[in-house]
Amino acid sequence: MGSQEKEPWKLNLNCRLKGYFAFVVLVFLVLAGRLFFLQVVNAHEFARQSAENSIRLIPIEARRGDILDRQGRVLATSRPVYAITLTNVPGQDMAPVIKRLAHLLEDPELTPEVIAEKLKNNPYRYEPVVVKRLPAGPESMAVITRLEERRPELPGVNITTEPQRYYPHGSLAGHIIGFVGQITQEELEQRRGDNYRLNDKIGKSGIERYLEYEKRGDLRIGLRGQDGAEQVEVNAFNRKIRDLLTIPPAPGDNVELTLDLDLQKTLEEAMDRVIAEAKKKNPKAGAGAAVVLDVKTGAILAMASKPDMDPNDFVTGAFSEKQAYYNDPRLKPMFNRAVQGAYPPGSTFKPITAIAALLAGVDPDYRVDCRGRYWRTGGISCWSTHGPVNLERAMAVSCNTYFQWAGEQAGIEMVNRVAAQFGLGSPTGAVGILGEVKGILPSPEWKKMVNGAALEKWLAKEQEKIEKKYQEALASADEGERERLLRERERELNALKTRFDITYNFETNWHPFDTYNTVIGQGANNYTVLQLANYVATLANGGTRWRPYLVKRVVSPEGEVKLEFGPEVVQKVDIPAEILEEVKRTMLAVTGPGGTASFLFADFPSHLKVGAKTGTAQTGLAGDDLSRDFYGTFIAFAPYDDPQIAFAGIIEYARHGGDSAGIVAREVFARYFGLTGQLSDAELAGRAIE
Amino acid sequence: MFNRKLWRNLDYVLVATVLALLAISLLVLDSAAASITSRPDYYVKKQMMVIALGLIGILVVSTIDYQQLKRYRLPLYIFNLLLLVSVFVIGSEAKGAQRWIDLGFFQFQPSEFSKLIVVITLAGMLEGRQGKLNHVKDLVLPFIHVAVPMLLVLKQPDLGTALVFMAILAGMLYVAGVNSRLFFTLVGGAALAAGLALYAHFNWGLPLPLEEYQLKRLVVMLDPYNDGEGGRGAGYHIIQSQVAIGSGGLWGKGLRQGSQVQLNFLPEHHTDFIFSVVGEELGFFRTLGVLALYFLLLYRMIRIAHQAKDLFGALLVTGVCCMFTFHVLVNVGMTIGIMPVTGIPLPLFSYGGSSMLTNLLALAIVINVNLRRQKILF
Repeated sequence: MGSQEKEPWKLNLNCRLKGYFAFVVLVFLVLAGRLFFLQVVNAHEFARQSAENSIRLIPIEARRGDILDRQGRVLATSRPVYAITLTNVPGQDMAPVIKRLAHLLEDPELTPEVIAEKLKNNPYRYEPVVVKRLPAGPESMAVITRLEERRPELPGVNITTEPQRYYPHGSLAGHIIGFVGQITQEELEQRRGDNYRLNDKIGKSGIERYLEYEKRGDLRIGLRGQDGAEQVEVNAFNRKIRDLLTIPPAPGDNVELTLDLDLQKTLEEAMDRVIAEAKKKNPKAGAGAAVVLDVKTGAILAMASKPDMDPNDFVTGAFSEKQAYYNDPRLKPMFNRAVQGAYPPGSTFKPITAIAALLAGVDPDYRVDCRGRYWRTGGISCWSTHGPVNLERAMAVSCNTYFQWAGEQAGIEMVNRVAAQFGLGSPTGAVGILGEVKGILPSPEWKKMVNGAALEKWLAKEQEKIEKKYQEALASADEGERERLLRERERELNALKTRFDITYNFETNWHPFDTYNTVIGQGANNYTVLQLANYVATLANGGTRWRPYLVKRVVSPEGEVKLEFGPEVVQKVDIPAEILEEVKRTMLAVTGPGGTASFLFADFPSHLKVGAKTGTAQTGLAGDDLSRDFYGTFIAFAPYDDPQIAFAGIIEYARHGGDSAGIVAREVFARYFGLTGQLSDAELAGRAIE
Repeated sequence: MFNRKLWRNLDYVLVATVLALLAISLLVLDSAAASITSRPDYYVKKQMMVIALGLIGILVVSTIDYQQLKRYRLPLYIFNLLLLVSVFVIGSEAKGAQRWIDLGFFQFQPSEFSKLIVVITLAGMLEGRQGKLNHVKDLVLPFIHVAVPMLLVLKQPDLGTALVFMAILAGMLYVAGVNSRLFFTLVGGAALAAGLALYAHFNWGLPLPLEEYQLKRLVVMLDPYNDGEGGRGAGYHIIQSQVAIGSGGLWGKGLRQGSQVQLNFLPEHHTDFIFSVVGEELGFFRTLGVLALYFLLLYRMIRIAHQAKDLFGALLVTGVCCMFTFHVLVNVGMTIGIMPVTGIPLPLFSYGGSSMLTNLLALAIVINVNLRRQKILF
């Protein structure tokens, strides 16, 4: 180290480091000494204590709260099941135990081999593995009694009761209720501090997940209760011999929904029938979604997505047998189509266009002559030739020509503004709903953004291709050749740029036909069924857009209300009441004589008039036949004079909205208003005119 | 980027010691995790990812001359305070304390990184005061320098980590050459004052700025069965940990065979109490071997401090060395019942991303000083 050592700081440092080293030596001598004391001197005593360590803390699972409908009818509950568990006992040959257990269980599926496999696959060596679960009942009691009698011959076998989730109505409102499942490692870490344990159940979707557990200050809210614990003394077989201390569990809160069980049942049954009917005509059919709202509060009265899912399948393990069904990539039964999917609204968008046109000063009595196609360049054909029609007539017969004209009078900005006020193209923020998507409200800005980004990506890629091509050639070229290549590259890049500019202008600028498409509900329009329902509700109640809500109250088992939800205004639309009234009147014409839905509510009593709009939407999906693959959409509210409920629904590949989703709406309204003497579906379908 | 001449200076013994400790830690973690997860490889995989990240960090940090750190003292110090304050704004609670910031892929614990930043900023400050540390008034600034971040950590509340700051301050002051008599008077005085305050608290009810549970941990250290619940309350951890280690005997019960650990008599055995797993499953001889590795690691650090080309480098290494010493002493001491229970992890061993990354980055600084030890003589 040469001269450094003579520097005074270094000398001083060395001295101090020696002192510090001495301290480290001392620390380790103390640690090693204590270790020697524990592991060598007192090893026997501690080994004895370890072997006798027999006091274990066993958690007691708290009962999960129930989920109830608006009248307190049970949608999700917990019921006790017997769990027969098996634990490895140190120093015990488990094979004979397993054999005896299999014999006593008398279950052909649970052979000794199967049980041995379960025990072997148990990742926690000393934790019990569940061999079989038995629902409470006399049959189970027989098995339990048999096992109890032979207990001494069955070391490691334990019988416990545990609560298991049960959904008494099966698939009814399955998407909304959700299900519980075993907690994953990720959820466990996320929920650190909330006292979750390895084998706990946790809400995975729907309300089960939405109201799983939450701490707000000192208040604990949610379906999950607080587990208790039992301090017990166990013997060498890990079996309880004495209770020492019990901390009772506290059950979770009950959740009351706004859902009406009867209405939900009617809605789902009607949808099942309509979808089955649609399937006969188009094999692609099989799915749909519908929402029923209380227009005076925004409460969700019913909501369904088809095909459905039965939450019980995910609790009992039946899921694995129905994998083919649940994993169907086209039908996706797990997917809540009412909020997680967005659909083209088709003609159900037309009331928006009507409002925009009236705002722009269009005279509702002005007649447009429909000759089967809008006459301007880029105009879209109408599904019929209606002749001269005013607004009311155009709405009643769903005339495309009229609404293209009306939309053009209003201008796309006005149409966009009105649609946005009714909440189209943005999540409703509904209370109790998870995974709502935004949908698409097509506007000039939207088109520029979406197409522009895609095109610029394309340009960059093409430019890179050209650069690459010449780079190779240039590397091996001589002086003269080089210049020529450079010029050529320049030319090619310019040509590309010109092509890009033309395409860019065309693809990102809003053109008249974009307006025509949008105002009749085709094109890029895409909304959730919940958004559509909320838009109808807003129109029906005279312009108040509520935040839809599915959860009414969260109530503790003692009856204390912990959370309460009610009507919440999101926006009051800035549109004169006369205009809304005018448009509602045109929607009444849809169910009146000559309207596209006239056949649906014809037998309703005169005080129960219905405002509605049918829709037949192009799916916009690749591979679909434009002439026969349509989604049937339908929106409605009733009673017309003092609206109470609103409906929006869609049936995939049903062609017409009126005789598909419309029938569902009819059933729901009939049920809600307590009408009897319904017409048969076949009769209804026969009267369809659209 | 990689200067070969520099890497010739590398202390291979240090590197080998670190790698050996990491390898053993993964083996033990695998066993410790077996009883707490249904995915046995979950913890080990996550820990391996953090270790890989830390080792890459070492390579990157090694390329930057540690003397650059001196220039960024002030911004580093301010950054440190902001980091600690941010816990209160966006942090999340765990077991009644706000210590974490959720970064999505992992939960970040600023107080861990904070220690390392204090080592850097304090080293810069003390180098400038070399030879001028003879009076109490000379120590006021260094003391405030450490006290501000320490109080923020104490507020979380994280008493254990706050004490690490004191250990770092004491160790670095001593090596920086503070007057011996002054140093021992202060350390002795502080110890005496703490002892008197505690005595006064328990006998005459003197109020102390400590939480009830923190005081209780001190009491049960002396007699774990005297926790008011016959050893099933605050003393539970200490008893079970000592039973685990003691029952390991000379050769241990073998990996995944320790009944104390595998039957979950000992909570948190993959984080703060991992040393108990070492003791129970590996036995006296191998546990002593692990301690010997820590001893060797600290010895090599002191050696690197000794060879450093300037006082700044020497102080950096000293700071890291103090941090490691204190952690090992308190963590191991806690598991064998000679230190109170505080949430201090065992460096390079306990499961936990923030702690592992901090320790590996601290080693990166040590290696950095080690690589640049020779003065360039022309």
